[in-house]
Amino acid sequence: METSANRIRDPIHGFITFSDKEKEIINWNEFQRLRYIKQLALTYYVYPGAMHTRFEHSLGVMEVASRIFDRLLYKEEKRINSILSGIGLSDIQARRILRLAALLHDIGHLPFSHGGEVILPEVKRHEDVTIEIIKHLRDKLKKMFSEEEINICIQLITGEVIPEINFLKDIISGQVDADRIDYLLRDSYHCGVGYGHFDYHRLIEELVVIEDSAGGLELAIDRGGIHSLEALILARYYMFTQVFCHRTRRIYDIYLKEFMKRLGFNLSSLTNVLEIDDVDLINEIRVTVNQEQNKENYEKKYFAERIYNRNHHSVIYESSDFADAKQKRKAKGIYNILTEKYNEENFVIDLDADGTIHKFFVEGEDEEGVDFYVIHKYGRDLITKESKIIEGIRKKFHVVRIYVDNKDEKKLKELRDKCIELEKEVR
Amino acid sequence: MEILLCDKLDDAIIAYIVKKWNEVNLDIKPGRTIIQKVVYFLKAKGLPISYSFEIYRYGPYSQELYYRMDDLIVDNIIKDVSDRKDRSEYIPGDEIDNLINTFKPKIEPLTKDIDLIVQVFNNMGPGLLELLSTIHYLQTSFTKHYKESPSKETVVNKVLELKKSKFDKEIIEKVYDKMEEAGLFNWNFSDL
Repeated sequence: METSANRIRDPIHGFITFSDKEKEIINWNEFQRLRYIKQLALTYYVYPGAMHTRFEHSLGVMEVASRIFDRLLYKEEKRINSILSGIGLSDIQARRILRLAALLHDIGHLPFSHGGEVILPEVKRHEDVTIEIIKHLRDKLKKMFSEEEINICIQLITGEVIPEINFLKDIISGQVDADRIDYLLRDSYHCGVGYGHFDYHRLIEELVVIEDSAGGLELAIDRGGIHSLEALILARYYMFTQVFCHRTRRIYDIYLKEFMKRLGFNLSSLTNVLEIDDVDLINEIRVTVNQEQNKENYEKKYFAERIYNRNHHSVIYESSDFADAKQKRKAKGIYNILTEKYNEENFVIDLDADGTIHKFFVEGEDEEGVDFYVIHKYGRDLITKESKIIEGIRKKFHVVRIYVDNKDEKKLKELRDKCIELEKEVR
Repeated sequence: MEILLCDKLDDAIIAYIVKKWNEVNLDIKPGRTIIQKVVYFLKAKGLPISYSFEIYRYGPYSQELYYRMDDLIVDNIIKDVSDRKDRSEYIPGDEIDNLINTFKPKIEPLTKDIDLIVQVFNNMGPGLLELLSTIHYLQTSFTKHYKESPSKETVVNKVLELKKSKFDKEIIEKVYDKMEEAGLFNWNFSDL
C-alpha cells in the first residue's frame, strides 16, 4: 500500500488520509476551487448548517472508496489480484486509480452545484466538464500517474470500463457507491436532519465481489448487510423529501438558474468553469442588486433581488412524493388555467423536483433495471427478492409544485382551494 | 388534447423513432428496451440527446429516459398497447405528428442517422439486440482501454464466453459484420 503520510480530521469519517502525490493534487488551484462550491447550493437558506462544500465531500469519497476497496481486497485478495493482473494492473495501482477517480469525480462542478448546469452548452453535464478538466490536467497528472492509469481514471468516471474492473466502477458510481455513502452522511450531518444516517460501517463490512458473466468482478452484498443497504435506500428517500427537494430550496434553485442563464458566461471551452465559483456568483448577485434598473438588466435584477432579499414565492399546490406522469400533466394543466385566470398573479411551476431512489430490477414491474445480488448460503438472489422493503419502495421520488408570488394568507387559501377544484377538472 | 409535458428535442427524437419503427416493421413494436438501445446508439453517434447512459449487464440504460416514456404516453404522443406491466409496445399516438412538426427544422438533419439505426435494428429482430449491444459495449470499452480496436476474433470469443451457449459463433460473426458494415463501431462517444 502507498504511504498515507498525511491525515486530516473529518466530522464524518474521523480521519481522512492521503499520500504525498494526492496532497499535491489537493493543493492545485483546480481542486482548491471546490472549497468555494457549496455542496447543496442555497439549501443553507433553509438549513443554516448546510455550508459544506464539494471540497470535503471529494476527500470523503476518496476515503470511503479506498475503505471499501481495502475490505474487498482483504476478503478476496486472490480473486481480485488474478483479475487485475490479467489486465496488467497491480492492486496498489488499482487502489491509486480508484482514489484518484474519487478525488476528482466532482472537479467539474459549477457554482452552486447542480443548479449551475443550466449554463452549460446543450446536452452537457458537469460530468462532461469533469472529464474536460482532467484532460486539461493530464500533463501535470502524468508526472505522478502513467498514461494508462489516467485513462482508467477517466473511464471509471464516465462508467465505460472493460468488464474486468466493473467492481471499481461500482465503487465510484454504482447503486451502493462511495459518493452516495459520503453525501448522505455528510449532508444530513450539516443540515442537522437525522434522516441520512445508516450503519455504513456494517454496509462496507458486508460488501463483496462476485464474478459476473463476463469473467469480471462486480459488487454484491452478503446477506448480513441487507438491512444497512435498506437503510441507505431509505436515507436517500428521506433526504429527497427533507433536503434535496425541499420546497424552499427548490424555488431558490429556480431563481439561481434563471439568474445564471442571464450571466452570459463564456463556456466555449468547458474548462472556463474553473474561473467561476459560488463567491463570484454571490458577488455578482450583490452587484446586480445595486445596479440601476434598465431594460437590459430587468430580469437579471429581478432574480438577483429574489435571492439577495430572500423573497420567495409561496406554495399553493403540491403533489404526493411519488407523482407519476398523469399527476405531472394535471399540475401543468392547473398551472395553465391559473396563469390565464389570475393574470395579476405571478405563478411558477416546478416539474423537475425528482430523484432516483434506486435502480434495482424488480421482477414483474420493470422491463429493465440493475441486477444487484445478495450472497447467502445457498447461492445468490437479487436484492429486490431478498428485501421486501427495497422491492416495495417506489424507485423514483418526484414532487410537483405550483408557487405564487403572494404572501397574503387569505389569497393563498383562495388559490389553494382553486387548485383542488381544478384538480378534478383537468385531465 | 394538447401537449403539456413534452417540449424538448429529446421527446421529438423519441417520437420520430417510434413512428419510423412502426412504419418499417409491422410485426414487432418497439418497447422501452428497444428505444433505450436506439437512443444510446444515436447519442454515441453524437446526436444532441441529453440522457446519460450507464452500462449495466452490457446494456446501456438510462432511467430518466425510461420514465420519460410515461410522459410521452400521457401527452398522447405515443400509446402503449402491451397488456403487461413489465412489457411495453409503442405505437404512434394522436399528437405524434404535432410534436415532430414543432421540432421539424431540428429533427430533419438527424433523420438520416435515425433511419439507418432503425433499419439495422429492424433487420436483426429483438432477440439479437442483446447481442448487438454486448458487441458494441465490448468493442468500445476495449478500444478505450487498450487504445486500439480489438480484433474481430477477440470480441467474438469474449461474447461466446459471456453468453455461454446462447448464441452460435456463426450468428455472432454475422451480427459483428453487419455492425461493422453499418459503421456502428465508429459511433463511440468520440468526443470523450
